Amino acid sequence: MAANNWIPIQTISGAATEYSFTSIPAGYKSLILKGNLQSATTGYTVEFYLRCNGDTGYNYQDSDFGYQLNTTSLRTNGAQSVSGGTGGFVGASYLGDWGSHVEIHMFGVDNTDRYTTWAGTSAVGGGGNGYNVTMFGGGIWQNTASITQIDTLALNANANSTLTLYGRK
Amino acid sequence: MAATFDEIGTVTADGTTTSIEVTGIDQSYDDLQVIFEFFVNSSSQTVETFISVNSDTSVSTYNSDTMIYEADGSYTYQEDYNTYAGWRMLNSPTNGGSGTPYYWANIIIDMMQYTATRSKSFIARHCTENVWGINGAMGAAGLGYRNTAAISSIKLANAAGNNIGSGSTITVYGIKNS
Repeated sequence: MAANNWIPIQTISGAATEYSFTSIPAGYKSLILKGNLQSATTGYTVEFYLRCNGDTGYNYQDSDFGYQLNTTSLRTNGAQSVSGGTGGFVGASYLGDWGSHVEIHMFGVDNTDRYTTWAGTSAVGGGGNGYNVTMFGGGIWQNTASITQIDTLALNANANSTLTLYGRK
Repeated sequence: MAATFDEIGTVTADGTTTSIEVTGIDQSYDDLQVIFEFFVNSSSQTVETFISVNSDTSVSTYNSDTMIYEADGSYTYQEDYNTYAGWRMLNSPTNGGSGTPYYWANIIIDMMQYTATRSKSFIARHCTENVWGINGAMGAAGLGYRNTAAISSIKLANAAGNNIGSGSTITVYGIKNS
């Protein structure tokens, strides 16, 4: 029987301005970020972003759609030439202790013919105040380099947050 | 005991065929997760592709509800019922007619209880983004298979007769829950 092909690489937990996964080994077909996140930023929900290999330039596209906050209006949003692609939507300080489940799949991470692309889901129930999240979000890093580093942007994780990076062989 | 996630089948396109298929899927797992990473050799900006199972070409066994954001501000909801001989994948990227594109389709299909002898429901997660101005597909689809046969093969095809791009892959993982 084949070995387990969903392999934990690194887990980051606790309060931090950003999470940074560094020295990611080569050889994975894709990478998966999966965890429970909440932001300490003031507000109800926060959109956070991902960056690759330390690139802070305007070399990303981002897009997201779904429902967040206490509204039934569908949010659809996309942008090109931005400095990070959407990672997900998480609860912020006003929500109390309501972490958001986030699962992001990143493709083309070790294929130098294609750009790295990711997409994921974010979901949180905000208790009785109606500030819930059901969102799809994703991004493109317009670079064919193999991924060695993934950084969050605008996350400001609180103490209860945890995020694990997995590799798919 | 932790769940296992084993690669049990894979196929890579050589760019000369209109379909690729994984056959002989091991029947001893609880669930499958199937990863499609591909593009189509076509001069069109995007094309439709179809995913089918068990060499089943009946239109009456496949139905789907697709909900995708196309990354240019448009949102699409599509229901297919008794119409296609496979589940329709919208906005599949192409290479414009030659070469290898930067933007590929990425689709994850979770096939829970794939050996159950009843009609089955699966979920597809679309993780396809394209160059700005060309429609992508980010979202999800519910897939229905109205056949009681266990899933033993999975195929990706382009109905318009274009070849699946060289290097495109289907990878099948078997999951044991305990």
